[in-house]
Amino acid sequence: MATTDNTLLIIERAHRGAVETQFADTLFFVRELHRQSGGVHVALRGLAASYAVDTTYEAALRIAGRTLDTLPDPRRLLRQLLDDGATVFVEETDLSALGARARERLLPGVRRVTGAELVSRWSDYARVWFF
Amino acid sequence: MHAYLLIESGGPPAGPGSHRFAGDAAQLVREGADVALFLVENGVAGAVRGAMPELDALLADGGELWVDAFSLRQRAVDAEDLVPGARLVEMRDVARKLLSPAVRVVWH
Amino acid sequence: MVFAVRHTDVMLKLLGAPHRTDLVTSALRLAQALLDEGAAVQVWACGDATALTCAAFGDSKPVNVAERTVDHPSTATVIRELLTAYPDRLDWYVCRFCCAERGRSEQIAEVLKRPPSQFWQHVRATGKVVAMGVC
Repeated sequence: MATTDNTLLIIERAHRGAVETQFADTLFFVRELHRQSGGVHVALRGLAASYAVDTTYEAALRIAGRTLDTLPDPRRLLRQLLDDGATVFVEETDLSALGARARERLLPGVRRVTGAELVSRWSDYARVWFF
Repeated sequence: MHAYLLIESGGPPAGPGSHRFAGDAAQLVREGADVALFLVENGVAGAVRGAMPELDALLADGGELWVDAFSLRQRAVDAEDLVPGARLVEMRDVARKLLSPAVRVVWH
Repeated sequence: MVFAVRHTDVMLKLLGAPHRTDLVTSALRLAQALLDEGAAVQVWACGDATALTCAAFGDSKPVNVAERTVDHPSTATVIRELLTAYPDRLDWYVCRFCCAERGRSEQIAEVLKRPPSQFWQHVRATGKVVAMGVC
């Protein structure tokens, strides 16, 4: 349950540059804010919903003979964030947009919500930030 | 016959422009062109069933729908959830197509 | 001295900004795939894409405080390695105006700064142009 000092971070824009971003992606900073603030709630919408879905994706590319295996790995970071105690929501509509089978691979601990349900909870938060 | 490699990188999350571009691809097919529409990056979301109705016309009229396997895995989309007729490809397939002399390429 | 643009099979005209979409990753993947097929490639980076080869980046990204021992190569390093691996078939140009306009005039030595007034010379010196992204 949210408290009045909580922050809701809504991540809508996703997959914003694998090679140039590597570890320093949105979830990296969310995790840091979670640590600094004492706890954040995260809502994944748009294609960021895919961060909450398990996949066979290997976060690596071969470029110029080097295997660049330090690309962003959002599922790993999201699991860490959940282990840290953060609350993570994913919007139902956006989960469905990833295909009928996406919900079967939802990461344990991620809570499904409707968009309307989440908006109704905005008043529970001291801060609502698109991140 | 004109041949095209059309590349959609934004898909439905990027707004209506992606639908118009898929419509452009379908029109070129209707006009007799040999068209491969390649969905990459967030564009792969367009290949999920029901996401981009323009693809039905493209495929029905003989166009090819290519979907980047890397981008699809990255976005956790199961290939079973794609529109029938979509073909998973690697970047080497795209490079080969691009290097075919007759093929015009348009990136969106 | 007159600069002669080396002829290539494909030019990747890279205009999109890093850290917005996966455009840069796609450009590098496509460049690698074309090189794997034996093609000659030139990249013309304009706008914020000139940031990719800034000398100020150094070899690595800033340290990841969560994993201090893991090296994360900068885009400048990745591009330098690509250029070093294919010296006869890859050229990377950056628009001189965009570099100056966006405070990125200090570029790594492996890329060539070219004036936008000469851009069409590069178009004529390639079989096909893939126009990727917008400024």
